[in-house]
Amino acid sequence: MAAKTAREFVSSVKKGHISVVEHVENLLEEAEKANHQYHFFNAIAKESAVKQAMEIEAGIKIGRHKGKLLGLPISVKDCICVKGIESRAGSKILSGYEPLFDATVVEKAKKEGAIIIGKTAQDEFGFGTFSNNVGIGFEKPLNPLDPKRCCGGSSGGSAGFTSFTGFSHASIGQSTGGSIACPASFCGVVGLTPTYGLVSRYGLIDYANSLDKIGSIGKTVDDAALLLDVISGHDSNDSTSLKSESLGKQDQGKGMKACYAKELFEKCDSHVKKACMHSIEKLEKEGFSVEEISLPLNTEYGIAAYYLISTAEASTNLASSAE
Amino acid sequence: MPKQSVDKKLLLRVAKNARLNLTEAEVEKFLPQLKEILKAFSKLDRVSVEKEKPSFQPIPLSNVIRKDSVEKSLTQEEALRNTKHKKDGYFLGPKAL
Repeated sequence: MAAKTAREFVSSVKKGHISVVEHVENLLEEAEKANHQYHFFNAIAKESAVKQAMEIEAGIKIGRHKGKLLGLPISVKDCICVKGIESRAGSKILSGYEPLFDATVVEKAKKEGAIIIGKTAQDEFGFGTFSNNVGIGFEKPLNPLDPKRCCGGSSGGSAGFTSFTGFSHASIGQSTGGSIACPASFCGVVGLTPTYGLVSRYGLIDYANSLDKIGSIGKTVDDAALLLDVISGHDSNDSTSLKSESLGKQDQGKGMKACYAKELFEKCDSHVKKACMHSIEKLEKEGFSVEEISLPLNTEYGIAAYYLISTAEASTNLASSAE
Repeated sequence: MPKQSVDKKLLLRVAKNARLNLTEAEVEKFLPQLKEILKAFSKLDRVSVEKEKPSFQPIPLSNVIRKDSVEKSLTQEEALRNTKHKKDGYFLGPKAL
């Protein structure tokens, strides 16, 4: 049986139809077992997750039903700080670092009742596109659809476990130059890389500050949208975060315009192109107007400019870890 | 941009700045990679940007100043928890004098 979507799950939890403790215990058992082969997690926060679940369940019994993510298990990319859980950004350099605070996105998710189950595998500090470039002492996460292949990266563990799990779950990922969309696409799940500034990066172990975005990964579009809605918004701790409105409900896209850049499909694998075009048709059927646009300069110089900017910023950020 | 030739000497200088001790085998491995990366960047040399205004951030930034009021903060013990370099309740830094 397919796992309930996040919204269905939360609604069942609120009605008392699902035991939050039982659900998270089963999911943790699955995660621990899978980790021997697939290495989705750099840390599994069993104790604190079960404790959180018990608190939520006790709350529900006395009528505390609030929270858009009530009881929903959430995994978090290793580079995003979770209080008291070893957060290493996939690097041995940060071994033993247990943050004393939650990143804003984690705090927001917890406030809505999410249960943090662990830190997901990634390329070391995010430097990679395939999760093959893990730090010394880390294992590469493997693709659940075919363990001989990689998960994509750098948010590989987040996308891999989201695809693997049979339970309701979503993941918080992070992208500098494709690290949410790439693994989501490799693992057949939905990744949402938001516009720069939509989501606070306070508590993120930065890669390149002018490019880093925190976003969501889910089994369905609605799962990813629900989580993104919770973690987005202005935060006085991140001066680059913007004031924004709620993403609202699923059907609010009607009448909106969606664009895709034609150059990006020129060297694209035919299967990928076909799948994208199929999704574009679906959008049109849902009431979007879709337009093909051209971004010739981006295609020609984008990657070179990206690497120049990102590595220059990364060298500044990493200097603090190398001291 | 002045031409910079990518050779072993440059690689070792960069490694020293990054506090990396590279083995001979690693130098052999990374030198062609470094050349390849800089070759990719050189594409940008062909673009004329003289008329463009420099930009530093994708969004307009303004100063954020919090209210001058007492907020809960870390205890001294908490603030020092993640470092090995501490003494008498303070961070222990390298000798300056």
